[in-house]
Amino acid sequence: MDFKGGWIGKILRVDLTSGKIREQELDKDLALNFIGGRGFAIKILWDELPRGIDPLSPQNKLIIATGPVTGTLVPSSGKIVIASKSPLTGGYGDGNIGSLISAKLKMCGYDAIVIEGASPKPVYLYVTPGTVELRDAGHLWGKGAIDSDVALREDYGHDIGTLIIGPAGENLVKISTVISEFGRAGGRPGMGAVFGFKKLKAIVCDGWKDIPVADIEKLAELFREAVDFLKKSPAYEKWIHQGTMMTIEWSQEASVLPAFNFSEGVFDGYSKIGGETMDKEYKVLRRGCLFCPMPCGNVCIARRGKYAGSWGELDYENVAMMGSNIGVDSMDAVVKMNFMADQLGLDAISTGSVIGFAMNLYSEGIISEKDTGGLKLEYGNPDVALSLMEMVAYRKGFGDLLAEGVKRVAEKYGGRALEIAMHVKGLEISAYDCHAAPGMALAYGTSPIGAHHKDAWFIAWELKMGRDLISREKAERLIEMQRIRGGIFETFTVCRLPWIELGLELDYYVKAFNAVTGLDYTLEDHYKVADRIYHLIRAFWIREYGGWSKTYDYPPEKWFKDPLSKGPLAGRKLDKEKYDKLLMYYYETRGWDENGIPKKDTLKSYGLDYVIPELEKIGVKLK
Amino acid sequence: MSRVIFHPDKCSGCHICEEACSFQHFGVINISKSRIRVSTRFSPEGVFHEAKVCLQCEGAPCTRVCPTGALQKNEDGHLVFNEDKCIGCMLCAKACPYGLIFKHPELKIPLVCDMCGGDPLCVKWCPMGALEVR
Repeated sequence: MDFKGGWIGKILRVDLTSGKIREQELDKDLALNFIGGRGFAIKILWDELPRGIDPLSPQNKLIIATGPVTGTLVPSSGKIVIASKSPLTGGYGDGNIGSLISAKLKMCGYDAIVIEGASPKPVYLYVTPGTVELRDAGHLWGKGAIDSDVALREDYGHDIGTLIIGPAGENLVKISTVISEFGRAGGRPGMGAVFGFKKLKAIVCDGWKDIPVADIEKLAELFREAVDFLKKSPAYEKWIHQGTMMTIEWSQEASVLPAFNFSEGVFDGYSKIGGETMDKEYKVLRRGCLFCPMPCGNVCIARRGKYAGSWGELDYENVAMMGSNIGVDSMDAVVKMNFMADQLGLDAISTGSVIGFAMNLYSEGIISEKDTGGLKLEYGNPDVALSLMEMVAYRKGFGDLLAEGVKRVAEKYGGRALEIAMHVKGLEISAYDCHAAPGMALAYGTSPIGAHHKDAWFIAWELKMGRDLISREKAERLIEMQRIRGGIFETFTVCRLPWIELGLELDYYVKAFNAVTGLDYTLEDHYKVADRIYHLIRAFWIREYGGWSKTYDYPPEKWFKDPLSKGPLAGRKLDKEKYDKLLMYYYETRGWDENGIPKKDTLKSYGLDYVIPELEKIGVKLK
Repeated sequence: MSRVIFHPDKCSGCHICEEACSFQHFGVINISKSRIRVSTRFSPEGVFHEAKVCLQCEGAPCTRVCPTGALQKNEDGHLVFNEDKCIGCMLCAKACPYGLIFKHPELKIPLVCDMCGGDPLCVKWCPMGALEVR
């Protein structure tokens, strides 16, 4: 099999320790079996990372990867994946960003960048066709991620693609992320800290080469059809007005809007931070990612109070986590917090979670002003939240502990704190309360990077199937969703929202992939790639953790123990036996054993034979 | 005389117009070969979108400085570029008072909007209605 487009055929290798830069041919088997994006990342990390390395050491590697469909005539194809061994979870971590750099990297002549080692002094990587240089970033170090982007554009113009960290990444904050274009963020599992440890402030790509496509006429025809379809969707108008922000109201209705550190699924002040209010009173500009015909970026300006005049870009997860989850019902404050998160390079979701957790510890008397340096951590106080953000990003006072993420904070206090620390595998749960959503809880539990909705947005499917249903079919549906969200979209690499929000058919993506590459893959072929990637990611975690227990795939104890006290579903909580049942259906369907370890036959049937001796070597028993 | 008008309030900064332009003129996907350029910019008050595209201005200093007649106006008042005649001196780009003629990244030719013969593809493909022929 040979491909005629999509992939560029080269990977850029940068060793920050020695400053050596080299090009590597893209292995054709890697392309055909792992496609791109997350697929490239996990294969390279599996092959090249020695077991047990410290994620914040020169031995860790950063993978910046596009896919064959990235930056082509496919709606919302401007995505890029950032991956590494996560300092937050100790397992596989990745995230994606919609940014010009996705296409610009390919236009420089590379499918991916692998960054190794660590630089002795702050640098940024500058890439064009023909120039790859590490340049001094002394003048940018310490600057906010948004301010740094502005500074780089003053030097290089507005056509560059960027990935940048803020002070949080520089200070090795484990809930730091990577920012692009004044407020696009990605890489929740501490990717910012990996940049920071390597003293890599930014990556700048400015390419001008064509992105090769096998059948451009066919692709253009498909593109026009797809855009027509999306624009005719009955949901289009509301989508471009509110984007994901409409989910605030939707989640309130479904009792899954996280409130008070995931104690409740409803929030009294929800409409004040909801999509309708935002659209009517706060939104001033639409922003779309590269090549997206259905822009969901909501640029908003705070109107009232002390934050008036601040601007920020809002979406559901961030607003729920820094709003209802910490008891804040002021859109003005949430706008300010969003801007601060992006400027500091903090992950807004984990930041909302760790602040909510600290407030929860305070409300239950586990910590007091003695621990916090005098701060009264009462729910609903945005000033306290903003102070904490600053303290976390600069590791000041109590912020130094919170910068480690909720799992490590909980380990410090032990006991009850462990029950109310809202994470899975160390990654803070994104914005869906699961007291009454066992399938969504399972989706968070089995998501391959920890509790993030990217792979796990099962909630809408679950509500359709029935939230109380505990069946094999539910686990199978979840796996199908993971194949699509965590497989197809993360390997192509394109945005999933045209499919999930406006119903662009999967068949379209299969056709577009074939038009781009000249290959003849079926949906089943892509599912097989997705499953292969899931097995390999699972093997990576097992190798790092030295084995596996099903409890690693459990959601936090709070959802099993403390029932909802408000809303139409008051009294509800998760049932461990039922959760276990779903988890076993999931494992069986995946071809994993009762401890969540892939079986030998499963690995072999996906061409992952090489995983078997690696795991057996460290004493893992494979069935 | 018509030209491409940009509505910044409708634009989302998605760059699909640039894809359309490179596809129309060169049959490739390459936004750096586009004759319209969109960027999302920062100001302390927030971000905003900007587009640069030829105004098809009446005086057309670009045509007047072109030494070979490669760049001319047609009867509709739109620029017409004849690559065979172009010697790559780029005087046209220097003459444009608005900086709306770009350099092809690989060839020694200017990139300037020719209105696609009257029905620009960027306008047709813009999903937000941010571009208009007027």
